[in-house]
Amino acid sequence: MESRSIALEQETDIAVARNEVRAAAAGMGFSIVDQTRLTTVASELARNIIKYAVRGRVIIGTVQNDSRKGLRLIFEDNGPGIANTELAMRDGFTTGGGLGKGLPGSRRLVDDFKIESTPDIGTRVTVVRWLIR
Amino acid sequence: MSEQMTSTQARPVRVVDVLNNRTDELLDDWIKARLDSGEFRDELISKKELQTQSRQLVEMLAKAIRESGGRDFSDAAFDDLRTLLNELSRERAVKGYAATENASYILSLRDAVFPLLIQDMEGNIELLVSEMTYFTRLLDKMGLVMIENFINSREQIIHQQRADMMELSTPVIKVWDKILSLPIIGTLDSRRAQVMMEALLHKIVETGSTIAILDITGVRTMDTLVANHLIKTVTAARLMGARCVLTGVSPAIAQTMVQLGIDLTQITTRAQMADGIKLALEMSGRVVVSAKSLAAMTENIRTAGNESIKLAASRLAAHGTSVVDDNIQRTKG
Repeated sequence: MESRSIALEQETDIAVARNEVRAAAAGMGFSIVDQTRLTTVASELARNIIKYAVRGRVIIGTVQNDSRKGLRLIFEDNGPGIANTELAMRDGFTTGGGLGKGLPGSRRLVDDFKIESTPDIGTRVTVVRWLIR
Repeated sequence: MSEQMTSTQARPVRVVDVLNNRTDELLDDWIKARLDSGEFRDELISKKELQTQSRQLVEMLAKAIRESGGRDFSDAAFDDLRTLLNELSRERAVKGYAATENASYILSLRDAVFPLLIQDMEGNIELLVSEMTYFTRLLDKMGLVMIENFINSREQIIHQQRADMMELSTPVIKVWDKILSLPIIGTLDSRRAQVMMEALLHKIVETGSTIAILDITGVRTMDTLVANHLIKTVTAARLMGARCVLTGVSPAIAQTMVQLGIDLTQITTRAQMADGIKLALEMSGRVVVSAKSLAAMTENIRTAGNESIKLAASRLAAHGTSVVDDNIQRTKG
């Protein structure tokens, strides 16, 4: 599968990203539960971009590691950034009136989770879920 | 380099003569080819409409070439033509044409023009080649404009449809006296969830309902936002004296919710809508008894001795008591 980028500019784009991620996960042979996990992560992180950074993109691609294959999602934006990523990863912490479960919950739904953020430069969240054979 | 020179320099263009002087002939050939191409869709465009459009296009093309003095498509003289192409492709996008049909309509003009051009050139090969090159290049640009605009128009349509899908209203259904049901389908964004919640709360007041069944069988993904809306809806309903039962949670969603760390233990849940309805009936102090067992009971009362009447009555009473007890427990909890 070639990697592809989806622009996130309005709320309806979240649904598009979600459908694309589900289709990609299904195409790679992920189970229904894993498809739902990845779709949920896409929903959370795409919504964060719309909510906090206004616009950004998600790049859907595959990664290969030894004998394993995985689906990798990169969420990028040039938004305000996160002042304290450690705090943002804590359960229940929110600056936007939500449940505060989006980031920490997403981390629990994938195998690899990396968040890089610089205030006023932007944020990039990279997640990978490995395919178990 | 030589390409640029020929396309930007002003020069007399003989192809204009073909477009101007042999318009009828040209249109006949072009339209006939279109009708025979198998791409012509008479359910989308009438023959007359095609004729009118095509004539307009040829006339504008001839005018633009003449005014530009044989310059390429970027020249301002082609602005009106560009506008016409934009309109045409937008119209066709709305009508449901395919992108290739759109482009081949323009490109096929070449097949009608070239034979006439060859006749006109009377063997002046050098001029013929230059005219053909120029005209082909123009048509290619026009075809691209058609495709580009067509895609843009389609995207707009898709965008609109997507918005419409999100707007799909969620009906609040009265399943029984004082029992409401809200089947949630598709994608829940903030606005839609808000509209849904309002509709439910209004209906609760309107019908004096005490129980609402929220069914999420049709929801494929539950993220924290949707969960948050659900929790808020349940809390708001409770403030109005109604209790909510959540049904239709799929195994995949259940596992995802647990890992996300969303606590829905405060919400009464049942696997399926049917279980939810049964629970709702019991919560409002009703039980569902099959007509057959009712009939059997009546028959027993009529024919059997004292013992079996007692047995049937005590079974029924026990079930009733358990339902009432459960309700007392629920109210306490």
